[in-house]
Amino acid sequence: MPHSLVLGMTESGKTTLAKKLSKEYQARGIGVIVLDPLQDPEWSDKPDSDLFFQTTDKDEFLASVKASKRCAVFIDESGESVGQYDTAMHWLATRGRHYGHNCHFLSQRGQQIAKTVRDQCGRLYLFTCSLTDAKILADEWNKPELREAHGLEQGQFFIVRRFSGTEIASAFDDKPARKLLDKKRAKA
Amino acid sequence: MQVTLTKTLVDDLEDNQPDVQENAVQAEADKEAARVSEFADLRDRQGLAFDPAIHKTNSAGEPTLTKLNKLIRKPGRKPGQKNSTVSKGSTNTSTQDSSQASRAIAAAATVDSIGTLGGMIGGEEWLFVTDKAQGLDERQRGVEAWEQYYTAKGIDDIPPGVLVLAWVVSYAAPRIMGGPQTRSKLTRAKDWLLSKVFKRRAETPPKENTVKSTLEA
Repeated sequence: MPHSLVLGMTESGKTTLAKKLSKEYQARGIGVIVLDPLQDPEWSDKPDSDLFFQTTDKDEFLASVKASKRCAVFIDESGESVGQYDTAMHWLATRGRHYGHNCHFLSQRGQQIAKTVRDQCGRLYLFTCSLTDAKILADEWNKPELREAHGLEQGQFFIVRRFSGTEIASAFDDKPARKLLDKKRAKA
Repeated sequence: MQVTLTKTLVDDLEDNQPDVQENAVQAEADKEAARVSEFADLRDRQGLAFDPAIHKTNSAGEPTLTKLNKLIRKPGRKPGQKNSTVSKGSTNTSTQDSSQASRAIAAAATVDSIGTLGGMIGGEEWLFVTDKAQGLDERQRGVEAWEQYYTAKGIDDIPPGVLVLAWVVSYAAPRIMGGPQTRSKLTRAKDWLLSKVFKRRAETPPKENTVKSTLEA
């Protein structure tokens, strides 16, 4: 499951983290494809580079994804572009890995994105969100500690992997993440 | 090398990046080619053959047709179009530069037109004054002022209505002011109009039921 979910409220730090990842990928020579309806120029330090492609058009984006291999793919505002019923975009999550792509779906709420897509993601970067959303994600990812996500500060986020412990970090200071222990586990 | 959060995350993601499955990619390409050839006879209104990137499809990937069996184009710009929405970062800057340049040209043209008109109507007194000793350059000041005005209003070029008006005034004004035939005809027209006015006034009887007369009664 190579894909990642980046979830959280507006201005919580999702896009800041995603842009940092995008630049790091490019620094390592990995191509980056971005679908951003806001056309933010901050996704790359070298926008004219062959390693970078950004668009606002879904068809152009999908054509670009199908024409390239082993790229990091970012979809900002996935709630709108991927949503629940856009099968062409769901293809990205289900078949995109055949092309060696690593997709990152950015959205304010997990429920805005189809479950098919969410189930294809092996990483969750969870920024502050509502208590209800935190509970749903905690159940879905089988991580009770995610229920505390509503109390995260701006920029702070949980790093969740399907089969290992949760970590906490900040998208703003770039310091290494530290392990987060579940309260029950810590007591034990 | 310093370990940072971004590096750690990308290390993790890169380690888990899937390998390309050439068989699956080839199978998908074959499937797409087969689908395109299956609908090769269909055309859209512009005469273009079926292309899943351009034309609307249903959930099964089959093209959606109009009542006249024409392919329907997807909304928005398409891959390879000249007006692509790809952001290249510096695009906005170059657009701003070209807009500013055209505003400067429009401002200079406006000032020159006004100067020419002024000279035609008012004579030499209305031509721009330039006095380097006093640092006076009326034309330059005018260009700067108009340029700021166009920038503030977001106008990139002289509005066509203004150009038409300038031409009409520059064509008519010198003839009205200086043409002997035009002046005599205009004088005759003025006299005729005045005579009509005076004649009408002379024929109109004085009003009896005025407020003043009512009060007096």
